[in-house]
Amino acid sequence: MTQTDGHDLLVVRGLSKRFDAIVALNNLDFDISDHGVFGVIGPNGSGKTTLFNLISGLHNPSEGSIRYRGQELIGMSSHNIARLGIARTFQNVRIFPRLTVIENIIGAQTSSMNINLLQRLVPHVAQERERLEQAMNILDKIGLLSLQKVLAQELSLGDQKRLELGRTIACKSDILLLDEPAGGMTPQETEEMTRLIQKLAEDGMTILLIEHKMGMVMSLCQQVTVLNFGRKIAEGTPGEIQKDTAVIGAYLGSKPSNA
Amino acid sequence: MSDYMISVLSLIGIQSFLALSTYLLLITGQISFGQQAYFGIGAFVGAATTAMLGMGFVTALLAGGIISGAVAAGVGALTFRLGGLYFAVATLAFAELMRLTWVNLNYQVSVGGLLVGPKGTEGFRDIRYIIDNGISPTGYFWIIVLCLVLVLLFFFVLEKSRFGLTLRMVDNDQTATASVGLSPTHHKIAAAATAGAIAGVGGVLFAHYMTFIDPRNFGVMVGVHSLAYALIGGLGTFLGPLIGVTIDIGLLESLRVFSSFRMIIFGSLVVVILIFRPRGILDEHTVYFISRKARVFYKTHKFFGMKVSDDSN
Repeated sequence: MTQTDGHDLLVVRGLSKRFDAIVALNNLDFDISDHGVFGVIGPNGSGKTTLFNLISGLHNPSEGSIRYRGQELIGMSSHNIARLGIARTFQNVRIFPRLTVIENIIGAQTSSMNINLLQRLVPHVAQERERLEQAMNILDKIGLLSLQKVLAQELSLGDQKRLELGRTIACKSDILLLDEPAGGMTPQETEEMTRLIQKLAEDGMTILLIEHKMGMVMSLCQQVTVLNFGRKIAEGTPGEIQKDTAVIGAYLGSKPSNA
Repeated sequence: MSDYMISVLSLIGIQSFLALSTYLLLITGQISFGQQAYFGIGAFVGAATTAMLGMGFVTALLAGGIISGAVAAGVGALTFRLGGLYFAVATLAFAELMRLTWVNLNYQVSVGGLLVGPKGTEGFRDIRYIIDNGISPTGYFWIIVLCLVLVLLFFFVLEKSRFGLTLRMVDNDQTATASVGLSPTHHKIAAAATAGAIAGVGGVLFAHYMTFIDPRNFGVMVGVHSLAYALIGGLGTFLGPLIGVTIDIGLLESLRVFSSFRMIIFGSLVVVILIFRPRGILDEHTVYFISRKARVFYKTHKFFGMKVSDDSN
């Protein structure tokens, strides 16, 4: 993959995370450039979600740096990282269960509106009307428009995953970190989700994707990074990754050859 | 209305401030056993303002509200780092600390030849502003109603606003709230400050209603009751806590429906409701259901010829 240092959106250097004796991530270097879909794959426990948790500020790394548009993210609280334009979904869906579907979306718009406390109490009618329209458009895009007034906890898992994706769109972020967006979905739902992510990428979003469904990863991603035991064992286009012996070894269970 | 009725309604009104204060924290996902601390601060500050400093009642309300709110913000900033249960215990500890402060507070000044001010366990007596200014119990009742209406108006705005939505998001999932760029801690502190101010205003009203206050007015049971009011009434709307207060003070205490079994009945009621309706009588589901029915009814009947916009698309 061509390196475009200086123009890279997200630059990860020497990133490590240890939980007591477990090394979840080990000296990871990782870049993503503006626009496109970047895949992160690997067996369970290889450190994919840990990487997301470190980028989004949920955990602090043991070592290393993460720069977004040149700005160091380490040490920032997760809501400030989100405000910079990095939104995420969670492996075990984290919607707001006791809010309605539309409230889930509207609530996520607030931080990008840059309004003070008073304005959050007394709404600007025209602005709110515009925001409601945007929220409706998002619901339309993710196919939940007819369920807008339903409490989120009543949705099926597939719909909850789509709602969570819709919520990241509402944040108006530049990067979306999607943690298994098709996990637990039927083949048909997976296909819809793939189309949805494709569309977001075409709209100019940069997407970082963790997924176990290889068909989805291979069709969406321009670059795939493979992790195993917290280390990067391969990186390249989907075609290159599929032929990589270390990757095949990791997935079939033999010891990684270059770890 | 009879004098007795007025006094019952006045008490319901005053307790509603405490219940709403606890409710505001509950909808932010924080359980506080200690809102009586701010009720007490408001009561003592309010009493000092009129009885010791000789200032007006509105000044007392403002001073009680602002000082209680500021203390609540400070306590919140220190204790919100503690999770759930630990936070609940910390609120209780702070409230007891404040109660012991009142027990040990001795500071009387001479006003017109009369010694006024807090005097330890004997409390703060002769808060005579209402009597001296010739305000009747009925008149004072309407002052309470006016203050309560203002607070309810605030809740009405809050529950329709983005700020209120964010508080509910914090209650639902703090990690997810942070993931959309909103700080759970900042919002919890803002909620605590507002809740403290509301309890403080209630305290000012309480002090002037009673004309004397003592540390026992701000004990643990006050906090437990105000939590029960909000939990019985429900967390779906700000009208919930009012229902809780009305059930307790209106039916059980004032009408003595169950005479001396009152606390047993009240305790059982809390248990039963927590089992069958963990988020209260008017929980989110019920409020959603009722508002939906009301909307349909509204649309089909077109009240007073008003055209109601179709927002269901």
